[in-house]
This record gives sequence, C-alpha cells and structure tokens, in this order.
Amino acid sequence: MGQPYTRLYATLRSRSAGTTRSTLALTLGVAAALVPLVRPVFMGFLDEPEIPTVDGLREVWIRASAVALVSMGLAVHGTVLRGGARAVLQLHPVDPVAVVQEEVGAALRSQLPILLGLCILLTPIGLSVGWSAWAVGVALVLGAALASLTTSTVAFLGAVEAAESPRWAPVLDQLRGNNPRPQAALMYALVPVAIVAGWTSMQAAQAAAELWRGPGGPVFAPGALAAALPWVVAAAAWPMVPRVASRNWFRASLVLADIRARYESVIDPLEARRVAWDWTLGRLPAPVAREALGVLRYGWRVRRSVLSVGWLLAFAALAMAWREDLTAPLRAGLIAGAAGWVMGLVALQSTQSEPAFLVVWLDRADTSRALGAAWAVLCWSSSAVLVGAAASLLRHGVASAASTAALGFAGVALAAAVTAVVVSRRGGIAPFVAAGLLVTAATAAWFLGRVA
Amino acid sequence: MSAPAIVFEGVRKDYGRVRAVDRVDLTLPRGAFVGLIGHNGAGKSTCLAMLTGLLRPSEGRILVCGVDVHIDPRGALRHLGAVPENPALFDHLSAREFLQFVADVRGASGLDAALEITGLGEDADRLIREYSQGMRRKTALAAALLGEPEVLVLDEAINGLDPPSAAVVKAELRRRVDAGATVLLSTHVVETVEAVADRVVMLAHGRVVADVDVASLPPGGMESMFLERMQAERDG
Repeated sequence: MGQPYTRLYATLRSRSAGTTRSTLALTLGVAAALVPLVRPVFMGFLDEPEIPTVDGLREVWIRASAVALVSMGLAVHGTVLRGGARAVLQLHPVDPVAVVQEEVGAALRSQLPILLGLCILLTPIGLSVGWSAWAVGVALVLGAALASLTTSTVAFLGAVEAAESPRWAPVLDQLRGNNPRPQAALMYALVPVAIVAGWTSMQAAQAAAELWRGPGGPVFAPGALAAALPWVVAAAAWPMVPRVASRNWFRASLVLADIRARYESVIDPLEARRVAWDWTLGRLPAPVAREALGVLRYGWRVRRSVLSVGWLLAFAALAMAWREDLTAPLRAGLIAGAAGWVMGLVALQSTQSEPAFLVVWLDRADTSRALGAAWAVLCWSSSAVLVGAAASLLRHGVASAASTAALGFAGVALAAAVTAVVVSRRGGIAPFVAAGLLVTAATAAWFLGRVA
Repeated sequence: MSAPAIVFEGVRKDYGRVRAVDRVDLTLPRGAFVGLIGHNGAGKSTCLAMLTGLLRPSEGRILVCGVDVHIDPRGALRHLGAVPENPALFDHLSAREFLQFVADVRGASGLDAALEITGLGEDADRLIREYSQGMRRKTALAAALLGEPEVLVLDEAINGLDPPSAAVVKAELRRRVDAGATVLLSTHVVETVEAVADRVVMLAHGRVVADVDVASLPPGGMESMFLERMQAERDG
C-alpha cells in the first residue's frame, strides 16, 4: 500500500521543486551572511581566552539544538496535523500510517534549509576550534531535529486523543484560557517534546563539550556517548508513530473541525465578550472603564499578534535580568518599559479604527477616552515589567528588582501618558502627561545615580 | 440481510448555543436515490459533513453500511464516495494523477470511465490549479465515482455542472442506483431533486420536516410542499 502514497508525495514534491530550491538558496545565503555577526554575539569564547572552550561549545550547541528542535516541532504541527493534504485525503479510505510517514518525511525536508543554515552558522567553530568540533555540533543539531521530528509526531497525534479524553479535561481547562479545550491539548503538545527532546539535547551538548575540556583537541571519554542521546530518543519514538497514526489521524480531522467550529460560534456570549485584563475595570469610573474595555477588546481581538510582542519583551526582560552583569536589572527595566511603547501603538490604532461619524455623534469625553487608552497600555505592559522585576529579584535581590520595576513602570507610564495625549487630541490631560514625564525623569535620575 | 446504506440515529449537532441539527432519525435503504433539500442554513451540509466523518455529532450516531462513521472512519469511507460543497484537491496534480491515486487507494479501476462521465477527458492532464470551479467539482465527482462505492454523498454536486455534463452524471447516478447503490444528493434546488430522486427528505432548522416519495407528489408539487412546510415551521 505504500507505493501510491510515495508516488503522490514525490509528484507533489517535484512540482514545487523550484520553490524549494529558491528557499534553500535564500536560507543558505542569509546564513552565510550572518556568520560574521553570529561569531561576536554567540561565540565570544572563540576570541576571549578567559572563557573555557568547553563552556562556549556547550552553550552554542544547546542554542543551535533548541532552534532545530522548535523549528522541527512547528513543522510537524503544520504538516502532519494541519497540513493541506488532510483536507483532500480525509474523504478517502487512505492508510493513515502511510500518510503520516510521508508527512513526517515532508516535514523533515521542509526543515533542511534551516538545518543546513545552522551548519553554516557553526562554521566559525570549525575554523577556530577544529572541524571535529564542527562535525560534533552538526551531529547534535541533526539529533535534536530528528528527536523533535519523531517525538512531535507522537505528541501531536497523541494530543488528539487527549483533546477528547475526559481524564485530561480538568487539566486542559486550567490551561486553555479563551481557547476551546481541544485546542489547549494541541497547543501544549510541544511541552512534552521540549521536556524529552530538549532535555536529552542539553545532556548531549554537555557530554559532547566535555571532550574539549582539556587544553588540546578532543579527548575521548565514555561519558561522551551521551551525545548520542537525541538520536536514541528519535529512534525510540519512531516505532510509536504507526500506532498513534492509525488511532488518531482520521480523528484529528474531527478535533480540528470541532476547534474551528468552536472558534467560529459563540460558545457562551458572556465568555465570548471576555478579554484579557477586563477584570481590572470593575473599580474604574464607568466612562473610563467603558473606553478602556473598548481598547482592550480591540487589542485582544484585532491586534493579538502585537500584544504577543509584549510577552516576547517580557521574556527578553527575564533573560536580561537573569544575567550576572550588574547593569542587567537596569537593562531589563528598559526592555520592559519598551513594551509600553509597543502597546501604546495598539491603543492608538484602536482609536484610529473608530468610524469618524461615531466619534462626532457620540461626542465622548476626551479625558475618559485618554484615560481608558492609558489604562489598557498599563495593563498590557505590566506583565513585561513584573516578569523582569521577578527575575531581578531572584537573581540580584530586592533593590535590583525595585530598580527594574521602577524603570520599567516609568517607561510604561510615559508611553501611556503620550498615548493618552494623542488619543485626547486636545491635550486636556496635560497634568497626567506632566506626571508621567516627572516620574520617568525622577526615576531615571535616581537610577543613573545609583548605577554611578 | 445487509445493513441499510445510511442510518442517522438521534443525531444532534450543536455549535455552542446554535443547534444546527436536531434529533435526526433517518434510514436510507440500499438502492435509494434520495434528495436532501432545505433552505440555506437548514443543516444539510452539517448532516453531510457528519455523514462523511468530517464532523462529530454532539449526540447520536451515523452508520454507513453498518459501520459507525466516527468509530471506524476508514472502514466507513471504503463504502462511501463523497463530494463536499467545496471540494479540496491537490492543485499541483493533474486530474488524471489525482484520480489514479484515489483508484490505487480504493483498489479500483475505471479511471477513464470516470473521466468520460464527468467530461474531463481532454483536460485530464492539465494541473488542477488551472481548473475552473466547475472542473474542480467534476474532478471531485470523478474521484467519488471511482470504485463503484455503495453509497454516494453529493453536496450541491450537480448544480455547478454544465447542462450536458449534468445530464450524463444524472444518468450515471441512476444507473448506479438501479445496480443497488444509494445516492444522497443535497441541494437547495427543488427542481433537481424532483427530476432525479425517488425520495425527498426536507430539513428545516435542523429537523426533518418531510420525508416523502417523489412519486406521491403531483407534478411540480415538491416546491409547493417545500413552501408549505417552511411556512408551517415559521408559524411554529
């Protein structure tokens, strides 16, 4: 039965070979161009003798493996679970095992440009440490990709079963937020992949790097065999694929259709109106709360991707605050404060999207509109500040956390104030702007003094 | 005794608070040509999507030739050829390549016959992405006809065809029914059902409001019956 499927996918592949070649050439070109930039940013150990080679190699390999792992996991999701072939094949009595095996091959091929690009990005290691180190890095990256390929396939198809399982319902309900329950199962399917494939990739990088512990070239140690762990995981997960494929490939169509239908229909009118942070509006004056709710709903429903940038900045603030550098809390605060400016753009877009006739007819109070927009900016941005401050607290202590929070909230307050001024159009809230500026200036001055 | 071709047992489908299909019980024997009619949003496409295994009922079950569609989808699809309202196809294959794949999967022959019935012969080697909507529908129809499945489920599959092709397809469907196959044809065009079907099932607001033999209706009587039942539904 394998033959028609192999022929089908080979034909489809050959028809898109031109696009594939272009993508490959473009990716490899970009990777080659990035090599001079990657070396000083991620491979400082090559030029700084005080950083041990073993530590440098380990960190680089872990990062490269993580990229390969995540990229492959997302490719499996986009191909095996939500690939375009499903819509065609689900109406015919296809062999789900053969289909999934071909889809897994397609996912792997789709990631070849990224994997080859990573190999190019690792070339400074080959040039400085030796080509054996480069080859080990390539093997680690490929191992991580393959481990992700097979474990993601098992995880996503297994998640289809969990999506409909009453046993998993309480857990998924805790995780799903505003999403339908089955969607939560698919969204979090990458978590076990990250745990299994991610942990083994880290162990593998650590074990492989130990070979360069000595002053010369690589010295073999039995522990280095752990570098093969991702390959072992990939091989161990592969036999599970036919079982989950035959059980859940057709079933996945039902779950995906159910998710679509739930998103498209109003499950609960009250729940459908709920958006992030609307619980904060209860104690605000009614006119301000009404305006803030409008902005919050606009952002959550129309500009969700921009709001996600706020979370990315939160992660960036966390990563920055976690560094040992003494200026890290200060920098984390600045990053968190930047979230306010991004969120300010969303608030401005919200007011720009209002029909002009509505603005004239309703003649709403400018102050309420401005404060509502500012409140939304504060709500959306606060996560970034709090995450950054929490990381500073754990890593550097209370005073540093206060610094991160103060600078972060100052940046956010300034952004909110500027947003409010623009929204009000008449500058009727100048005192608030002044307060924002004052707080920002005072905090910055205090901070600079402290750092000095 | 062989199982009925299609059985809906207490089937209900809710989209949140919207009830798209409400307790549908329906048994279609083998060798029946049944038209499924109803206004837009009556629940026809939802019924067919559940029948072809694309949607799960909120309650009840659906059997195709005795196989539960949602417990053994592959087993049910072996008995079933389906054309959805908006068929998905591989745009980078030609119709011949796609049909060859379907024939291989079904272990069927008759590819050329399917191309001839649907009038795709001359265009069979062009890529599907170059096809018009009508030609895409013909390709999906040809795929559904391959392997002489015992049950054919067609969602608005004839209305988009040009008149000569529609006539050939109707004749082929009649031939299949006479040979023992069951055809369930969903449409909102009453005349189409009146012309080809033996039995008509009418849906309104997700419920079966009429299930009659076409022969029992006077000429042109289906449309007036349709309007009467619709009015009755509206009046509660």
